[in-house]
Amino acid sequence: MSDLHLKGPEELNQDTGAHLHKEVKRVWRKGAERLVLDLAATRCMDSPGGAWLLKISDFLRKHHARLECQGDRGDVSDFLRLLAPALTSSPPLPRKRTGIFENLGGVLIAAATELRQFMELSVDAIYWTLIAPFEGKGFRFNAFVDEVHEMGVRAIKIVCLMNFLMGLIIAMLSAKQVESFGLQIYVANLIVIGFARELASVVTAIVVSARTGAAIAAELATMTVQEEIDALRGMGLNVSQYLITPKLLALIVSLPCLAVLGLISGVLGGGVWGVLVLGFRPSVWYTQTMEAAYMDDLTQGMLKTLFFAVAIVMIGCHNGLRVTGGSRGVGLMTTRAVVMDIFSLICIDIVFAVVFYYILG
Amino acid sequence: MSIEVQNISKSFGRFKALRDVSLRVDSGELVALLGPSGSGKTTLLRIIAGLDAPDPGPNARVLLSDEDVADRSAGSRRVGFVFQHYALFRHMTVFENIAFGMRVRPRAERPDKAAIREKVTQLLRLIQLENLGSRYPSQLSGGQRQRVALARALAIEPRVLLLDEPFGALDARVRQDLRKWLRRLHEEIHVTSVFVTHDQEEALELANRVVVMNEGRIEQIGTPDEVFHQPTTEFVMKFLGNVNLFHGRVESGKAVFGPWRIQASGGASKEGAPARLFVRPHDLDILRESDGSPVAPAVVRRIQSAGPHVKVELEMQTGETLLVELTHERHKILQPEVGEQVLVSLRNVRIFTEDYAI
Repeated sequence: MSDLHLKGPEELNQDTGAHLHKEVKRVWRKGAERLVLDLAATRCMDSPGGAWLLKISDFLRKHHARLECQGDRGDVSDFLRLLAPALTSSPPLPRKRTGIFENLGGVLIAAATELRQFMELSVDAIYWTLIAPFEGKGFRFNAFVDEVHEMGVRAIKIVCLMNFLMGLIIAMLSAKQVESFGLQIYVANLIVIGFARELASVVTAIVVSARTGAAIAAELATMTVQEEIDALRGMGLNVSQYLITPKLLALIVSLPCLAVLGLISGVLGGGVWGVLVLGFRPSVWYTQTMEAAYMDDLTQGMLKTLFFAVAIVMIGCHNGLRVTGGSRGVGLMTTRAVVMDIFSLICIDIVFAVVFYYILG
Repeated sequence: MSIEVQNISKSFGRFKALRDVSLRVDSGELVALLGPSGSGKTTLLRIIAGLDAPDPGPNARVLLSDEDVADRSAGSRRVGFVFQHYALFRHMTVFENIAFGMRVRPRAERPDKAAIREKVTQLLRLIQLENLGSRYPSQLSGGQRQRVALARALAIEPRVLLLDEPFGALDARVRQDLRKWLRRLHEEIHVTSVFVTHDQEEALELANRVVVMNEGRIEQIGTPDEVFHQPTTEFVMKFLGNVNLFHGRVESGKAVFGPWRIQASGGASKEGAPARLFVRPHDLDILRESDGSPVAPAVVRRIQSAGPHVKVELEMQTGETLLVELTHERHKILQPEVGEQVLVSLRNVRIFTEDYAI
């Protein structure tokens, strides 16, 4: 029924083996379970011949069939006995296929687990930042100052530059659009409202997440990999209190300040374009800008930065502490932290836009 | 200060790192956890330290000084932990690293500045780095860093000292020195210590007792002499040094391996049961002429005479290779040559039959 029969050559060696291999492939048909090789005529065989037998057996195994040798004698039998373990090992298991639901479920479970870990860490960190100091459980003021310097003060230059350029570009592009209506003076309104409500906080947060978020993830990941985190825990320190709290508070304080500086730079960038290229007098541009600026816009924009700050620090810490697998893992987690940071910034931004300008506005 | 773990299991996903492990370490002992990688030794150490939690179980307990510490955090266990890669804080000097554990204690328990300074100086003297207190870890050699890590662990006056492959990242020469140094240190301060290693030589040389682990289980606990000379399982025999393996069978109460019939002293095994004979290379001897004891013929294949012993590789008639270690004196008397036909005799063997060791 599903057996195939072949006769072995007189001498099984490199050439005849290759030929036999070809022959097997030629006569092979789907669904066959067994190939019977009649070796009654075979007087002798050598190692290349044996290797070809293995190759044939591998080929059959791939198709879930087996090789059976019959009628062998003398030296050939001895040789076959040596090969037997390799020839008779079990056929490979068919590859396990996972269905779409299994995959989807796996992804969801992994995401839920990670979200739980993230929330646990965040709750712990927020407790140690906002509540514990008032219960007299200590606060690392020096570390906080260092972090403000590192995260805030040292980011001023880049934040201002980025916002300035953004202001310049937006003024340039929008002036072109309103040129035909002669409304270029309203570019001043556009810039100040846009930056106060949205751009200053978002651009600043993106710069900071690339700068500080990555640094936090890398720092904690390196400490985890080098067992420093374990060493701290071993000495009875709470990682949230010792490492995360100063960072969290520092960014909560610094990010709104940076965003205000960003706002000023952005408006300045727009003004530079307005005055130098569009040809308005500085006093005109200034008056127009101040008329359009409302405190409410600024408050809403700045309120967002508090949430951005928490997101940047917590995502950085979360990814840093999750690292596995040495220095390669550090790089992976740093990248992951930045991607997650920016994604979460946009999500928070959407929530704010919907709440303030759609529902409340 | 004793350590005791009872019925501890730990799995990571599907991987079972520890399977129902129980162990007691008495006060003042220096115990080695020895095993290949993946045998669960580091996991056990981390569970003792409180850095990992064991799987919950009705009888699973971790006791320090006969007191259950399951729900105590790592910090409150007063355990000194030394990590394989030192885990020194990079931005702190050696002095600050050692002082760190004392400085971060709650104000009520914190020693005053002078006391901390004195304690650190004393520890620096102990680790023989008195003049390097103001250096940063990156300015130290590996051996020096590991000693600083040890001092940092000792600074909190731990009740137990746990060392995770303390010398794993160091080169052989430094490792030798540090081993001696740690041995002396332990004699001096007598703190209950457990260290993890995969280096059998290190375990045998340093420890009072050795715990051999494999695949999450304890294979044997004993003094270095016991585990080396009276291994109770094949794994222990194989793991502690080179062995030659022969396959044979039990025939009328004796284990038979080629020309050798060895009295199975511990009680008869089933007739015909397969048996395995383990012989350490130094327990084999090479003869030119039979001295009456059972011998097997073999051919010399390779001789390596550099090192403390002369290693001779022999090929038996069955095609199996044997490793024999001769002393240099014996080698001088024999002067075997490659390709020469010689006789092999046994001195000291261990047999493992199907069900138990003889």
